[in-house]
Amino acid sequence: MQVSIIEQIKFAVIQLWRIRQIAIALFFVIAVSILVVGYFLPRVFVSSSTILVDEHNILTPLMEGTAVATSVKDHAKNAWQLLSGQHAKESTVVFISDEVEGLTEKQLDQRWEQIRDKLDVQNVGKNLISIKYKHSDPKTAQKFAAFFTDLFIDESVKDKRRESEEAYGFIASQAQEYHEKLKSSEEALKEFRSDNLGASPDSAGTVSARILELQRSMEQTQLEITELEIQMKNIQDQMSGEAQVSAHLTEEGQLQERISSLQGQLDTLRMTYLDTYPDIVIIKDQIASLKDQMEHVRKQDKKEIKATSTLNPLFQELRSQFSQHSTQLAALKTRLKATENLLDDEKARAKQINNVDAVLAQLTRDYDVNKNLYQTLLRQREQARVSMNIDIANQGLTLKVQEYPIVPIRPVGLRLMHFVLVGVVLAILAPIGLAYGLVMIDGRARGALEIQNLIQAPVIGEMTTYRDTEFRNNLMIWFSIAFAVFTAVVAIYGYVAWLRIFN
Amino acid sequence: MSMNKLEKAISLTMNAHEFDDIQFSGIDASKSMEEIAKMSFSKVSEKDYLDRKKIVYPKCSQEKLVNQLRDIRTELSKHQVKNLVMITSVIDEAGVSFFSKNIAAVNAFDASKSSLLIDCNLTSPSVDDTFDLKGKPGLLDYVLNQEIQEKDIIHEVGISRYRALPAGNMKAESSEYFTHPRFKKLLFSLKNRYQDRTIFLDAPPLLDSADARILVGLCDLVILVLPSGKISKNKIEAAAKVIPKEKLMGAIINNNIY
Repeated sequence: MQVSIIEQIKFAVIQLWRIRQIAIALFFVIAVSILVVGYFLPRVFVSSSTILVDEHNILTPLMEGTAVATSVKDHAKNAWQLLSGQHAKESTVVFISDEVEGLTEKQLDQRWEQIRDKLDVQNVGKNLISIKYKHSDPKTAQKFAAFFTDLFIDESVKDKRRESEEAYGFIASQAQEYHEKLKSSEEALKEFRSDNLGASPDSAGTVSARILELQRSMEQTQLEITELEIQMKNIQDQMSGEAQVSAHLTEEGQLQERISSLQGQLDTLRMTYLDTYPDIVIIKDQIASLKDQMEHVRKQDKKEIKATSTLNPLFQELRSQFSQHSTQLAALKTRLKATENLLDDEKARAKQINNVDAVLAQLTRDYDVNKNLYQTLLRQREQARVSMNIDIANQGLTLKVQEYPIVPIRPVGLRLMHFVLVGVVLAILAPIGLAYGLVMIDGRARGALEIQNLIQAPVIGEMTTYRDTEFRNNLMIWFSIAFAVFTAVVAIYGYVAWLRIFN
Repeated sequence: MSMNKLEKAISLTMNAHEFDDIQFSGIDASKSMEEIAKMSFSKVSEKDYLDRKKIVYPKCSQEKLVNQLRDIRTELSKHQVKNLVMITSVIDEAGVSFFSKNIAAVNAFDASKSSLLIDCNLTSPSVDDTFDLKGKPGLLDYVLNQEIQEKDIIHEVGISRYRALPAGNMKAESSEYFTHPRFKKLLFSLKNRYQDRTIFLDAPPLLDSADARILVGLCDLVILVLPSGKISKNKIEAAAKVIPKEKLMGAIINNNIY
């Protein structure tokens, strides 16, 4: 069922009139209670400082290329950490020592909690932080804001100093460490070199030349030995062919020779004659006698060879040569052995030289690395020393208070002014809203269309209020009451504002 | 009102006849209807009197209200034969009595018509108060006392063509009166005596009393007075169902801001 807006407003106005007592009371109560709330709500004053914080960290440039320092961006968080820590608490307790005298540790903690709750640190821009302190008293707000600003600066400077000192200490300790390392590697190198004097890398050429020479010499000796051995074999052969004693050799030989010639004659005769042939028999006899003779000679030989024979001169010659050669061979063999030993030695040395080479390379590398690092650290240590000195002299300070906290004049948040406005508006709107709400939800019939639908019969007319003097008087009275209440509220507001402004 | 002269004359004669059997209070019975019409509202004191009673009269200060009532009267005049109009509501204080006495007054503006207002609020009558009829015999007296005649209970109220029948002096104790044959006889007699007279029954709220429901059965038409924004929709719906459709003429929205 559609009810026009104008009709709704009309109904609402009538409804408002019907609930006029409630409406006026509501207006008054709301207006006054909001004012009371606004008046007694504690005012909050905020005093704040703005501080420029440099982003650079002392370690960053120092450790550039060597180490990476963690970069820190959230200055406000850092500042908050600094200002809410134990150190800050102690400083604060000293700052408010008058107030906290005689408090127990627990009470002190609670007081510190309260103070910390009122403190706020915010990032207000790139490298800008704001330290805020809120309090119901503007002067106290300023006092604490200033205190915390100073505390932050102090602590930051101390921190910075500590940081550079630590950086210097760190670099110095590193330098010291590398110094030790350098020294030990130097020592190791020296020791190793002196331990392997002959095996210096320079002697590698000499050793290989010597090895070659020794090998050549060995080959030569080998050749000579072979030659000598062949000669000796020859001499031995010759010596076995020569009679040691010449006489002994002639007699037996003569007999053998005669036997051989008789045998020849016999063989020839046997080809033409039978064995019975006399010649043959004679020859046979001759041979046999010769053989006997030779047997006899052989027997005699054994008994009286020395007495009867003389030494063969050729044999003597050969024997002297042979012994000469054997001596030479023995000498050569000894030399070969010695050369072989020498070669082994040289080979071992060559191997050692290679080992030494590797170890030396490693030692040298260690030494070089340590030396480089040490030199770098030395340079950085000197830079750190300068930075530290600058920080100690407060010259490298990267904090700057851009705005020092002042005593705030106006409170933040909802002020009495807001409450006044809200109070008036709400107080006026509430009764109207109530009336309108009733029209919307009280389930009562108001419009003609509505009623027509309900009774299934036409609405044949309307009847307005009988506007006589009584009605007008009544109207006047209620408007007067409403006006009086409104005036009273305005007066109360004015009085409260006057209280606030002049007190 | 467009009525030809003949009709006017007839109605005047009938009106005059009516006045014959009525005890006039302070007004000479021999004066003709026309004369009464002429002398009506001529005095300042009468206007004061009506203003005080919150009853409208032509050219009174309640222009808007009068116009609204005139419109309603026009609607009413469409039902010529049905001249027994019951005015009721759903709740108390709905403005039924105010509407009844005023619609009767507006009806009586027309010289060819007359109004009779019967106070049927036996438990809380108001007509006697309005027209200073305290102590005068009324409905209850008539029903309970055989000796009292119709003419004894119909009272002149100082307005031309306007008569009132108060509730009476006796205390009402039950709803038996409206079912009483004498009451029915009275209504029948009043309804049929003058064709140009409209009888307005100032009745109690429908849902609260059996009286009202009995009256619904007796009357010709029912007008519901519904104050805007005071009655729940359910009640209105329930009340409308009590009234037979052919009798329910319609509703008057009472925009009284009180």
